[in-house]
Amino acid sequence: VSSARQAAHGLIIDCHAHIASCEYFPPPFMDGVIDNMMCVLGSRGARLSRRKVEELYTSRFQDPECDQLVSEMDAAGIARSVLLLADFTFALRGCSMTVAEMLSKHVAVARRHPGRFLTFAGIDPRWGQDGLGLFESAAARGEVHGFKVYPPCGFNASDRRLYPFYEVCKGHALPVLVHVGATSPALGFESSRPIHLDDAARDFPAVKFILAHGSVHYPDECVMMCKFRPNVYLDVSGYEVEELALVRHVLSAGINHKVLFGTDWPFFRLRGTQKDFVDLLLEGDDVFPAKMSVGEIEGFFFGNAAGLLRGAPTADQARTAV
Amino acid sequence: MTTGQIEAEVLRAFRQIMPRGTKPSQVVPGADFKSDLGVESIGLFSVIALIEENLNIDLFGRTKELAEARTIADVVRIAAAAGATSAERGAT
Repeated sequence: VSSARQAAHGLIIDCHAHIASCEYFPPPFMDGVIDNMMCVLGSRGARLSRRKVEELYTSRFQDPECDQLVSEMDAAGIARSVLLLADFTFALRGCSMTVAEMLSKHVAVARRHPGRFLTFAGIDPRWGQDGLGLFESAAARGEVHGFKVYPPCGFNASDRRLYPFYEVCKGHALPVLVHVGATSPALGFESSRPIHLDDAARDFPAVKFILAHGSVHYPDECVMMCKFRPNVYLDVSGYEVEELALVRHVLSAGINHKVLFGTDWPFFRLRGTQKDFVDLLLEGDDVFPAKMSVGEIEGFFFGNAAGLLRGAPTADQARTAV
Repeated sequence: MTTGQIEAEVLRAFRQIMPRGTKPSQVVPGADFKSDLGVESIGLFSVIALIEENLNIDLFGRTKELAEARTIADVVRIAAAAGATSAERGAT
C-alpha cells in the first residue's frame, strides 16, 4: 500500500470527469438516473419522495466553474482532470445550450483554472459539417485535447459519420474516448458495446482510443480490445460503486500500460470525495496485484494518460501543480 | 425529543442499512459514514427515509447539508435542527 501511495503522490491524472452542472445533462437524462434510484429504494421499502431524491442528487451538480472540483483535486493529489463534454442534442429533449455554447463554457473553465483541465469535445456526428468545423477549429486553436464519443445517443463508435472527426484527431494527435456500457435509461445501451469500436480502431491505427468504464462494463471484451488492438486503452471510472475486484481484474490482464485512472466526477459525489476515491484504490485490499511494479502503478495513475494527452504535464510539473 | 433520542434513532437507521458484516461498534457518532462505512447514495437515501419516518420530521430543504455530511454526528445535528423546525411549525 505504501509503495502504491508513494507512486501516486501528486502524480495523478483523472482522465474521466465532467463539469458538475445540470445544464449539461438534459432533464430526461437525470430523470432516468432518478428512476433507477427510486426503483432500488422501492425494493428496500424506503419511503422517500422523488422530489427529495432529486434534490439531494442534483445538489452535487452545482459547480459550473469547477471551483469545488479543483479543491477536491488538490486534496486528492490529482494534478489534472480531463473534462468530457457529452452532446445529447439529437437524442434527448431539453438541452439548454447548443454544443458550441457548451464547448465554449468548457474552454472558459479550463482558462479559469490554468493547467488543471484538458477538454474532450463531444459532438454528435449528426451536426454534420457544422459540428466538424466546430471541432476542427477548436483543435487547431488548441482548445480541445481529445474527442468524446457517446454511443448511447444513437450511433456506435465505428459509425462512418464519425470518421471525419477521427481524421481531425489523427491530424492533431488527439485521443478519442468512447463511452462503454449502460447509462441513464433514457438512452439506448446496445450501441455502447466495446466491440463496436473495432472497425474504427483498425481503420485509424494512429488514433488512440480509450474505452471509458472499461473495468465496469464488459470488462473482458474491453481487455480483449486493449490486448489485441495496439491503439485501444481503457479507463476504470465507475469503480467507486463497483467491486474493487473488477479493477484488480483488468490490472491482472497484462495490459497495465493501457489502463488509466478516472473517476466520472460528479456522478458519485454522494458516495464521497475525490480523495475518498483515490484512497479507495490505495487502501483497498489487493487492488494492485503483487506482480504490478511501482512503475506500472505510476503509469496507471499518471504516465499512461500523460502519454496519450497533448498538453499533459510532465511528472515534475504535476508535482508542483498540486 | 432530546438530542440523545435523535442520536439513538439516527444510529438505528444507519445500523439498519449496513451490510451484515458491520460490527455495531463501527456505527458510532464519530464514524465517517462515507469512507469508514462505505455508505453509497442509495444507502444515504435509505437512512434519510428511515430518520424521517422514525422521527416524524421532514429533511426536505436540508439536502445540501446532508449531501455534505461526513459523520453520523453530522446527520444527528441536521436531524436535530430539522426536528426543531418541524416542532416550531407544529408538525406532528
